[in-house]
Amino acid sequence: MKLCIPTMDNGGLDDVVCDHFGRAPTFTVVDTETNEVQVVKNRSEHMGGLGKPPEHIAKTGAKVLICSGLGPMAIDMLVGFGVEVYVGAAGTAKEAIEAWKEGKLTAASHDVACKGHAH
Amino acid sequence: MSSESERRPTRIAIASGKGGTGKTLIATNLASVMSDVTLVDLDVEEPNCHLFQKAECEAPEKAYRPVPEVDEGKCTLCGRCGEVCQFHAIVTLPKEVMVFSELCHGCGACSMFCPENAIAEKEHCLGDTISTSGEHFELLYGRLRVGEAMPTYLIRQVRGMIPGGADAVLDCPPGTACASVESIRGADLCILVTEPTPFGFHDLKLALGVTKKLSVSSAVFINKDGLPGPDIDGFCRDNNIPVIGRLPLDRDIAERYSRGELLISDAGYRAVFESLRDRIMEVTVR
Repeated sequence: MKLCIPTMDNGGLDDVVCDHFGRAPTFTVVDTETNEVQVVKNRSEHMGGLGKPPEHIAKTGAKVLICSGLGPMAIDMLVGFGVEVYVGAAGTAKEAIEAWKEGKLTAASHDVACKGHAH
Repeated sequence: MSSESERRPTRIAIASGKGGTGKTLIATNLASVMSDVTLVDLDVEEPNCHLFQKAECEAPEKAYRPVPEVDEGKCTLCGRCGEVCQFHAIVTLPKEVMVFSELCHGCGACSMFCPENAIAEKEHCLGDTISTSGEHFELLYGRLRVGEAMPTYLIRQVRGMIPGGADAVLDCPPGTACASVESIRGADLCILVTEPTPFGFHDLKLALGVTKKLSVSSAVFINKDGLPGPDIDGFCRDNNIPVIGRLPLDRDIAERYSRGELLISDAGYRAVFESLRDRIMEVTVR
């Protein structure tokens, strides 16, 4: 199964989880079966491109998104695309995945969604 | 020589790059010395011309923007609506279509191109439009609903309500973004109000870039003249932009303005605006 983590810089397991979901420069996609790591640049409208971040993430085939936090519309769209969303991740992508595996992260809902862009 | 009857109605936009340079001061007083004129406050996010018109407010009329409403029974999730939307306001998910009504510009492309005729347009309230008559001018303005992010559609609606036969003075929102572009577009003359400060000068140059791109001829009004700042006169001379009027930096002007008074009740100030009016007529006559 593929996991997606919005990352701060050039992506990869050692890159840091980006606090701002929509404007993360990269999305790091990890296949839990093969351990294959794929890095997708964020080319959504938030970065001057086309489409919304959840559309781009859905195209990677990811079934789980692990991030720091995100807004209610983003949650709705990801859920609509069949992607499970977990919030509260911090540290590197690798650490975030470990935390998710250990059940330490919160499943996203409107109750835990970001109300604004202040981190 | 053109007589009054040969002139077609003139649209004079009063704009500025920097805010707080004196657009409303110039617009209200200019309109007051013109005859048969409508003052149009296009700063729908923060209209204030009405503060200078002591008139009973007529009932506001609600203004709407059409936004798509998808009939899920007819929708086949083909995604055509999202492809044609230039504003990313409609997204097709695997089981539903999501509409971002705050991004929608009301252009109607989604409903026009929907092959299943599944998209109807419902009305989204933008705010209201208000017209009043006062002693010095007819006033028309829009008031954007609090929380509404997009002023352009309402600005277009207010502009569409300007009576055809009369001249109009358009008090535009500040800046160089969508709202000011929508307000300046199509004007016969744009008067850029500026002040001799580094910000005033910098943003004047940006605003001149907008009027040039819109092919609207521009003139400059220097407010707070006498501040020891950049040489705006010299800049205008070098770039062939007429300086069409000026007001000095004067506490008396600020005090009158803060009380909601028009300057034209004073003969000296009145002369400034009458001469501005006459210069405008010279510049815009065809």
